[in-house]
Amino acid sequence: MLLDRANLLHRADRPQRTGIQTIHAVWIAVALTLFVLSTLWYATASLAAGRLLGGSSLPGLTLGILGGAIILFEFLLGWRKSNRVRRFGRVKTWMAGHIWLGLVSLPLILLHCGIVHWGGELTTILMVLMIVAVASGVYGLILQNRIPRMMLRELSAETIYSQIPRQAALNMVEADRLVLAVCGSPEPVPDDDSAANSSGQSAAHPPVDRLPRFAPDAENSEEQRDRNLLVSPETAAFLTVSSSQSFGNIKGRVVRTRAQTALLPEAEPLRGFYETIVRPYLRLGNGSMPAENWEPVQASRGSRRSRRPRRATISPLADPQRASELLAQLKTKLPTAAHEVVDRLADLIDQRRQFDRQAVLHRRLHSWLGLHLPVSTALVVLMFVHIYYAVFSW
Amino acid sequence: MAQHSARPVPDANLAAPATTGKKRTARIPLDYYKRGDDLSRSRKRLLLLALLAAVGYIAVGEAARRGPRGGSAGGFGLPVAWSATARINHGPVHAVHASFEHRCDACHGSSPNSGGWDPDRILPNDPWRVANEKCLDCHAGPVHHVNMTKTDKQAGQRCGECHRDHQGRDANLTAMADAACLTCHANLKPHLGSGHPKAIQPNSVVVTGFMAGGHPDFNLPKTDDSGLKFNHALHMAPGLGQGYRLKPPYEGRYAVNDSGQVQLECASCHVIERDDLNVKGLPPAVADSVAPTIEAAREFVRIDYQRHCVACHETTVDVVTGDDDGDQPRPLRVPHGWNMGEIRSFLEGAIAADLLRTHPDLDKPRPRRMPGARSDAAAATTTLRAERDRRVREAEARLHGTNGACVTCHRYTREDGKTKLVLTAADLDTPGLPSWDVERPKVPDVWLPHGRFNHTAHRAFDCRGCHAQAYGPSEQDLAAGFHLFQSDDANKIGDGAVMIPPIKTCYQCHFNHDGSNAVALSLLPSSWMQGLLGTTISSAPRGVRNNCTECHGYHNRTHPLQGPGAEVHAPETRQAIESWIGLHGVSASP
Repeated sequence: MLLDRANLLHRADRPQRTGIQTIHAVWIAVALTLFVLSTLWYATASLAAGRLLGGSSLPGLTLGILGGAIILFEFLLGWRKSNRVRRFGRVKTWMAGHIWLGLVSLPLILLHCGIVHWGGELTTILMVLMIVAVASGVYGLILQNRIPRMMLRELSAETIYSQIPRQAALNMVEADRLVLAVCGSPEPVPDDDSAANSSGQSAAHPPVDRLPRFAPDAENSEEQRDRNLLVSPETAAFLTVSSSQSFGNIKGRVVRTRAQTALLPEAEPLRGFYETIVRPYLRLGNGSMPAENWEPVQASRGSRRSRRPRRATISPLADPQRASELLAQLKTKLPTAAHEVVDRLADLIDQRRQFDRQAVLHRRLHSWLGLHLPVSTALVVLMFVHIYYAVFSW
Repeated sequence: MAQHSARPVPDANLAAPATTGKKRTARIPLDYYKRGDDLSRSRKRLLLLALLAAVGYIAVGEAARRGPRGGSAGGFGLPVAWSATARINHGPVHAVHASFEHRCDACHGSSPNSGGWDPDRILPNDPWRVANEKCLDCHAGPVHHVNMTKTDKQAGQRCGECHRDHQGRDANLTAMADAACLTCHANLKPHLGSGHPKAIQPNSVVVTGFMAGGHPDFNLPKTDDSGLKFNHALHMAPGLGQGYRLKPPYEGRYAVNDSGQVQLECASCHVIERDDLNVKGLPPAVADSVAPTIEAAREFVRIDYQRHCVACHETTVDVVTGDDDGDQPRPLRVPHGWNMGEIRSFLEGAIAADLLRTHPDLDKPRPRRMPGARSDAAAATTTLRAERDRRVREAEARLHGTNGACVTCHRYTREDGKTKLVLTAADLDTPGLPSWDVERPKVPDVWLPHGRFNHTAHRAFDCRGCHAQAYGPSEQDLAAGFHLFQSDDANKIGDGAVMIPPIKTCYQCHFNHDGSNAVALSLLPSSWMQGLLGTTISSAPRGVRNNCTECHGYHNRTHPLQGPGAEVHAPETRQAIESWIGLHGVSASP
């Protein structure tokens, strides 16, 4: 997917009134109006009463109902986002309302409880949950405004987060084919059980069954079909290679089809470099990806189980400067005909690096939801309990 | 190194087969969004956990509330504090109500844990409102003012309208906002009913705040007309201004200066003691709960002669009695607190007994009188009575005449209301009971009956700050010719002076931060105000609280001593406290 990222960034920085800004302006006006009117009413009534009114007073009860309704509306955003087929207003509109009404709900609830009197255990828990929910939401809002822009600027190879392991594995298969095409098949195969399967194929052709698999039980699985997507007998003469491209302001990942390169007997240093440094990095990255998404290895005991990559094994390729130095050194040992393969590998290494960076940023971008959603859920459940007890017991 | 067989190299310009383009698009499955990722799975787990925690919290609370109980624990043996009743509690009740915090029905009409609730009672009329009867079981709550209008009386009918509990253990349940008072007192006229025995002039008691011009001055007499002649300045002078030294058996009762002269201080007489709060009959545990400790007591102990005065003012009079060596003056101690008739009877008995002991001839039986002859025995009897009466008159003159022992402090009054400072011989020379009597002092226990003042709370300050007049003449006074010790002099100061300072003295410390009305600022605690206003206010002078309820009470305003443990508090209530202790098994022993 190619995106005009520079143009997008420029538009994001430009103080130009857009449709979404209008939506936000409307919600801000609604929230401010609610806040000002509520505060004035509450302050006037409290001054008249000579004390800070609580939830059982008319202003307190009204503001409590209003705040509760807002909380319910806030909670319904998840339901709206999961119902994308039916249209109950645009999600952007809901999100703007979620943000600004959510912000104003906290002062309304504070007025409902008399500002300083948080009551007993249940109401105090509710108040704490409310503050945590709003605070985590504000934190999330800040992240949502900073990190996507950062990703847009830094990650030209950005892909879908859940597909990062898959894309990394595909890139690794492509790299395997590139290296196999230039260096040929090693004899004997050190760690793969597919040596017997390669006997029927020419050594010049990449041994299809010896290429890495995605999952242990992928023989008949979807992943196996994906592997065949890249390496099948009918496409053996061609290579499809993922590449990061830029044309002017337009940057992104593309898949390019390239012809197989001829075998180069002098390219043996490439195989060693690839097997020891490049392939582990393309496979594991910084070692921070969940174990279940990674290729399993055969355990020494003979049982198949997933092993989580060790985070301590940071590849030198994780550092762009170091990576370019290593690749430059590699080129000096290779014939010129193999330099293009090294360049292709450099591109794939860069993509791997961006995938890791994207995973980190993505988790940072969405980690606050791990607090915001559970706290909001508990808040809504306990809010209904609070309403029940308030009506029937107080 | 394995040998690789030669392989035709494809043309680099050869286009890829048409099938590869479709396959390229399949690098990302179209249904990828159905599978989720590790983050979404973690979120769902946390969501479920939060849901379970919330539901579990309520389930445990209901189980502890409704489950089978055993002993002091809640349902299913769970702690009472875990029950829903405790969890839905608005907040901690005041410390004095803490013993029945988890028994909602102790104050509220009925509760879920008292056998279910009545659906008819639910909103909007009377949900869980505390009935006044529940409060009045323990607290007296008389109407604010008998002269209130009927509407105002009805407005304050429900205790809970003003006294809101569940505000914390130390919350002040009687601290009302100034606005509640100023609603009426800023313009009292529309709120005055009829039938009050005292005519109130509304304009004279307009209150807009505790500040100059916003509050009337204390309604005090210009001079102390309590019937007791007392000069604070004289008593605070070394040796009472006369070089007085304490005599046996009273040495050590008061402090003395370097020269051995008695040197009184304020605390020599003005003391606060818990024993005087009538809690002696109660067990210590009960007394602690119903009577304030010394730190909490507000009023001074009433001045008492035997306790405060006798060391210097003994009621002793020299009575001339006779013995074998002839008539000699002998000090006779006259009981204090008796009226004139009782004193005269006491003197007659004491002097007659002395005469009979020293002059037995005066009491010989009368010989039979010859007809027509005068009886010498009758003449002797007449002499005894006359001698006794003469000596009684002399003693009374020493007590009630000029420079008499009683005249020092007391004055005299008659049935017709007339008063005299000193009695003359003619006043005393009356047969039977004297027509004059010692006027009973009416020193008020509390000089500000409509407010309260806590000396203990002001103990950090020197008494001179408010009662400088009690310490004698200042240098300016002396320069102006004022003096202390010459009686019956217009320039003598101190006699009958009321030592209550004017209200402007209070303003020196009790004022608003900005000098404005107290209403707005009283809404928030001062700590909050400091937090809200920041450092800009910290450099400004900050006043001590000046809310109405700092000094005034709503219900017992005419009875400042009507606090816990006071006699004026309904005696049957005290009985109820003891019953309450019995009911709840509180040990009365320390």
